[in-house]
Amino acid sequence: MAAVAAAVSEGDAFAARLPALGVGLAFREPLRGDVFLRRAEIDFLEITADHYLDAAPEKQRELDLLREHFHLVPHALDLSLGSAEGVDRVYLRKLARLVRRLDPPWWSEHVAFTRAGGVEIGHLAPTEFSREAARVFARNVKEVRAHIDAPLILENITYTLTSPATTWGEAEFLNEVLELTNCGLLLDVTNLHINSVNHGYDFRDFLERLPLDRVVQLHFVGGHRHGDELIDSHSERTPEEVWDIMDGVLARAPVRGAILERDENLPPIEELLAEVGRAREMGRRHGRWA
Amino acid sequence: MGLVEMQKALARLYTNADLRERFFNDPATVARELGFGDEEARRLAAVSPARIDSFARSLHNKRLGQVAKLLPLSKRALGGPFSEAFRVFADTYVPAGTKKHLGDALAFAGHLEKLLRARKGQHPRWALDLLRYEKARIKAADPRRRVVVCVFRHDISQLVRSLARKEDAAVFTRPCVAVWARLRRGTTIRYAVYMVPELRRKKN
Repeated sequence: MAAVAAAVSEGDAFAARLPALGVGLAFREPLRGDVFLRRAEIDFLEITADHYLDAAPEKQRELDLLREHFHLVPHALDLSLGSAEGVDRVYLRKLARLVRRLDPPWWSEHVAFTRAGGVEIGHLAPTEFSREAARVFARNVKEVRAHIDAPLILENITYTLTSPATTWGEAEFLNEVLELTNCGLLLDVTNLHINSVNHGYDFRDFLERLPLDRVVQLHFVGGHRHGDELIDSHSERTPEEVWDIMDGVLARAPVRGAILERDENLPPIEELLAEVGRAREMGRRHGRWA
Repeated sequence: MGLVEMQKALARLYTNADLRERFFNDPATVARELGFGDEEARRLAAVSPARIDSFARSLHNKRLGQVAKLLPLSKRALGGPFSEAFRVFADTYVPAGTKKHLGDALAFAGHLEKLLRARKGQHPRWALDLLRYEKARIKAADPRRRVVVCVFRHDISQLVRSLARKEDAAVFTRPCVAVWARLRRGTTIRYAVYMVPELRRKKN
């Protein structure tokens, strides 16, 4: 495991106050044996927080074991920070318990809502891009901070449609959300690529409008094409277009870690680690980690 | 109408196929039913049906994928009818809570079990045992449960092993009882299968 470097800057940037972790994997159960066997090649693991809320003893032990061998960063799916009716307090309490137990350098959630009016959507739905929606995030994050001290970073999602009440662009909205919440950014470079293709914009323009000094972590993986549309299926190796975006971001943003987020169609561990190694080299070249 | 109402309306549209179909046919009327004023109804009606449908389909496929991961052998054994049955089931059950995928899989397994019982002869009889095995295994994963017991018509160990290895189903009519048990709530689950020779003799 690469050594955790100390904070590198005395500046005010959000990311600079956090340790550089390097490059790792999103932990998935089928990878359990391999990640232990190849742990020297994995700097840290991102765990899906939801898998360990109300977990069976077997899962709890798995978490303990992972924690003994890796730096763990929890990634939550269902806090629904974009819900105008507020966050689910039962879920929040369980999540807070997990984050306290892991004591991670940071944890992450999405710029999305997953429930409204008693309906659990079951996936990340885009909120409208508006001032009102950004204020919802500010209110919800404030409540979350009353329960969880660890720094929170927010991830950009893919979306096929925008709410009819949208008044801003996505980049402006992300800016406002990050500013109002004072959160870091988990920039999913694959999502950025997919959205730029599906919605026909230039990712470079998008990046110009983002507060890159807030980028703490990256996600990268490959999806598949369905007709004219790119699908964020986390099922393929990372395409060259995404590597290019990643290289550009690593050159400019104070990234502290990157996670290969493969969920489906899992290849042999060697293939995953080759991608992890490539990302690690890329980050080293830009002086992001040791 | 504010953001709260808009999110409620969108959540219903994303997850309710009947409502979605009515919306596609007559968006203005459905938008008003959802409580939108004329201007908001007009804006909602302008949202591309194809985009809403695409997102709704991705939600459905995600749910199906999660359920298939929890009932992998039944999915393999039943093939297409498994997905078709889930399509019918999906609108009748709204998964919720931190264990929503487990709840979804359990409810769907119950739905599928009824379907298989009602359609005797259309599927191999062992498929029902396989489904009940996977359903029992999901129930037993709940740390609050102490004991789950399930009786099978076929040798469930052989059947499960063969399908897990992606071999032809090893089907032996050999009644057995499978037990999942924890010594105390919250401790590790233990699993054992006991053959029932007297039942087998009766059968033979």
